[in-house]
Amino acid sequence: MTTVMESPMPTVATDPMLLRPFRVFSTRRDTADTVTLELVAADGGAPVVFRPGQFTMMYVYGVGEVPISIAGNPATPETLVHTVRAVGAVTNAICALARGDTIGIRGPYGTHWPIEDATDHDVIIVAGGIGIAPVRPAIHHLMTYRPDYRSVSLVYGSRSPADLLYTEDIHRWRSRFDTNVQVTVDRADDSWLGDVGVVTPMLDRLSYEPGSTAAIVCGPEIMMRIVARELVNRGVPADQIWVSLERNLKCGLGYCGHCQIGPAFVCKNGPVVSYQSVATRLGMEEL
Amino acid sequence: MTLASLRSSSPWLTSLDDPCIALLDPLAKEETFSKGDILFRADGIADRFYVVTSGTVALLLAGPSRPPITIQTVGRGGLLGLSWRLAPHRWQWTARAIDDVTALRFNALDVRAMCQEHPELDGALLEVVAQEAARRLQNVRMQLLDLYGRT
Repeated sequence: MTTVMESPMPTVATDPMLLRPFRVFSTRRDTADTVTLELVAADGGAPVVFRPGQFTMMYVYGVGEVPISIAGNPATPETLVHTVRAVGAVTNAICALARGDTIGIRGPYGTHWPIEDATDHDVIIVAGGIGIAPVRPAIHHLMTYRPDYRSVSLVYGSRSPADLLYTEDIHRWRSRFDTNVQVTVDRADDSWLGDVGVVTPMLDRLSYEPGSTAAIVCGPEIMMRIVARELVNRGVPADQIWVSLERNLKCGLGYCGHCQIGPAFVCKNGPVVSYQSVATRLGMEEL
Repeated sequence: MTLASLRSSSPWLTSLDDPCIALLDPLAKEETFSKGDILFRADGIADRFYVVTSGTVALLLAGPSRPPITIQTVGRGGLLGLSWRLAPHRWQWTARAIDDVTALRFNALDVRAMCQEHPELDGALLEVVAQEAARRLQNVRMQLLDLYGRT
């Protein structure tokens, strides 16, 4: 396992501030406020080869730029997949894009889930809300190279059944006999036949050897802190628990300092970091 | 199915020592419920508790002019029912089987009688109920934060 300070830097071949035009190949409305876009390079250049957990900067011309995690399969980088929740001006504009529209892309940037280092380990992925998007490439990797890993478990928490993302993927992963998939929602009416409650009790249903387990945790920071702490209490080493931080990213390259958390820049030293490296900072007020 | 056999899948059972499990196991009566069956209703007398051995039970909050809301679900190894131990011994929620459910039923009178004979069991069960209530309170607080909503 690598630590946050040892994590590889992103490699960008050309001017890292230079936007590349991408065309919207397809859009899919996942929920009332979330859209998944498939993008293809419009400049005839190379596809965005990325590693699970990395992000790109998405620029809507005339509106602005936001960092969005890549949600596609790293084995098929020809199509750049992003799942975006409309929460502000730029993300609303992204969610309104239609097939054929053009958007600017920079990246990929940031550190990645060190999933290749977790072979021969039990792997636990805990995702909450839109946090399922940044871990989806890691799940794709695990499914592709499933024999290289011991048990693989996914715990996914969502606000409600209507807010669940990637339901087709989840059905497919669930139908496998080698993957434990647990889904829970915070609230539901009586038509929902699944679990209701927070994600931590779902950990009771997983089979893993704590000392040789790697965990990927992605979601709201409070959730990540509670889940990581619970995993540590269960014996999973803190340096084998990985979380993805979210801050106000601007440049994506460590130039501007907007995303600084303590001595590190989330865009450069993150977003994926070991829980051990940020455990004390995650609980600090207003940091 | 016995409590002893459920221990590996249930944190609260692992907190009970072997003598306590041995005292409780003979009191268990297995019951089965079909999907949609009501195990108990809010405000009813809490004269029992269950340990779910298979299937899932929803704890429901009913209100006027709207369908019941599921507050929490309890699955295999889960403790269903805390109110038997705490006055006024009335159910706070309605429990309904989401699918076919099998559970071990413990009658409160039997358990209380056993606790009178074995105060160490009484203390251990009170600890279990308190821990479980605290854990559920924490979880519900997290749900109230609406963490997965818009940020």
